[in-house]
Amino acid sequence: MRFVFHTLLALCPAAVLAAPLQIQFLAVDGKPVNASVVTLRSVDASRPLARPVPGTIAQDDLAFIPHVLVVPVGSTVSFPNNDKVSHQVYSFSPARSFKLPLYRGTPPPVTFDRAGVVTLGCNIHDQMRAHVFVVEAQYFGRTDAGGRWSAPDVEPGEYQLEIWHPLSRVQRAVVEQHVTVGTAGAQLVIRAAAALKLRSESQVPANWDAY
Amino acid sequence: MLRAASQRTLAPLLLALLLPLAARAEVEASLDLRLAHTDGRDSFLDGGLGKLRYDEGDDLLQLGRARLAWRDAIAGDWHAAIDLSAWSLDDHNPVDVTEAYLEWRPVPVSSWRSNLKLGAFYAPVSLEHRAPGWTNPYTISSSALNTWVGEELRTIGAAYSLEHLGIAAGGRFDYGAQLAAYGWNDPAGVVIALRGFALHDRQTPLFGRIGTFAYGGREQRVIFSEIDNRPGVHGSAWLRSDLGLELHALRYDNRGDPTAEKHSIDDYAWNTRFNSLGLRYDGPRRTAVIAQWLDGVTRVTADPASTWHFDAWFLLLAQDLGAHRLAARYDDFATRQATQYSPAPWSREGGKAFTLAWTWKFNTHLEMVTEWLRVDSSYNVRPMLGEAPEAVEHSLQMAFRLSL
Repeated sequence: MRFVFHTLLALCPAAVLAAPLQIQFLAVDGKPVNASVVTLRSVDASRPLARPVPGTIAQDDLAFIPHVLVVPVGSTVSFPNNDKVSHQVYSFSPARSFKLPLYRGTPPPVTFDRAGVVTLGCNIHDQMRAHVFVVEAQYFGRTDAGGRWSAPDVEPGEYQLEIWHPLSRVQRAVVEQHVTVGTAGAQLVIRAAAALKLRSESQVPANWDAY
Repeated sequence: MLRAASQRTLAPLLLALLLPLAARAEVEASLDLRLAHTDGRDSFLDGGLGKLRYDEGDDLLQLGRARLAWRDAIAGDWHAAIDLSAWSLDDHNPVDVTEAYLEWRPVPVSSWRSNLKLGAFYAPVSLEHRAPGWTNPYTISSSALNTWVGEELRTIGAAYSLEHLGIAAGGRFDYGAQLAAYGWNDPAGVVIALRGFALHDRQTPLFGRIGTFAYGGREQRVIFSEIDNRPGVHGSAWLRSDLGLELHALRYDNRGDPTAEKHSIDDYAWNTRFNSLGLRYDGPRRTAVIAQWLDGVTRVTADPASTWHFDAWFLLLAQDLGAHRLAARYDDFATRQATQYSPAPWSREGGKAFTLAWTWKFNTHLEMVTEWLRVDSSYNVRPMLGEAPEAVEHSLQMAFRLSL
């Protein structure tokens, strides 16, 4: 019986050993930080990374929706233009430099095959900005309005946790720390060590300010 | 017969060529209907020295602006744009052009971006006019400073800009500079010298006219004309921080030869020069602060007494609250004729204005703007019209703006 149990365990470890993980990210003053990017990467380099997924950043009402997208390395992202006007999406970020032709509708998707932060712009509408976080990790996501991010099925083990803020003035993670996830899972409250210094990226709806 | 057949062939061919272009083009159409109640003096549009677009004698219901704009990519990185507006059916041209240009706008492949504009467009002076068609999204009436820009200035020529997009590259600042050479702006200065500053939203169209005080009568001035065959220049620079702060500086000199005259429009080339500085802050809670300052001089004819100095500044605060925007602005302006060359009387004007505006955006197609404006001014030329030098003018306007 024990043999059978261990065999099953070996065959489908994630299904059996997966544990819930919840993280709440707070600023120095204790207020929850919304919309931060969380990545969890196993210290065991042999563990497979999250598989590529298809992503979408649409252009609605002269704005990129969503403003921030997190995808694993190798993912493809499509850029459907739902506006009546043409857009021309580009990036000159080292992690992925590309330019789409002036278009309406949906051009062919773009593959993001290198980890890093890719800043997007529209060459016609300068106020349009968005960010693609291309991550190498087993688990990833974004914090909600309560500063929380959770994963229901984290394989127990040792991980490197990184939290990025899309508007941070520093181009690196605002939190980097070691995390142990046990078989019962974990609940962590992480408070930023220093005040977050954020860029003022205009969130004004584009139809107010077209220039 | 052959000709008719060719035309029959050509018409569908042209249609076939133009339809895809039209389908791809960006077309903007908007209508601004206005309720305007004012106790203003006779408007400058009627040859008066009032500071407002509408005066006491005008009807309550007015056409604020009807606008049709077209923009398209024509080849490679080249775009074409044209902006047509109707401000009043009484205008010299009921429909006219405010801007029309070709723009070379390559996609940046590094943090440096070049831009070349050829045609007729605005110099980068105003920090208020952020909406399409050089529209002010904060108030109906522009500041005194930028009203003058809309009345008398247009770059009709070429402008090259080089910009460093440092923020997108992970840095703290964007910065850039523009250099422009232009013609057909020699009469610029006539309005500021003879009438002084005003506060309104009407832009002088490229082929249109502007009413100007003409010592007792209605006069329709041509503003965009070449008189001395000498190009003007302006240079500007800007810096934008990742904390939402922008600084702009500009030096303008139309290099007009004040002795050159053009009889067909009954005007000289006015030599107009000014410096302007602007600061804009866009806060994280949808707060905007704009401050601008301008100081210049204009000179006409060989008589040194025909020299006027002018300066203006304003401070605007705006706050967005959901679908609403509240804005308040204080304006200060002055013009004065050079006094060292001739005995009195010299023309001398000074004034200040308070503006409060509330914008209610119902949806992407409809908004309503309500504006209260008070202008206190003193101008020692007014007695020539039988008016007291001092004037206090008020206006209450409601704009209903529909856009497609």
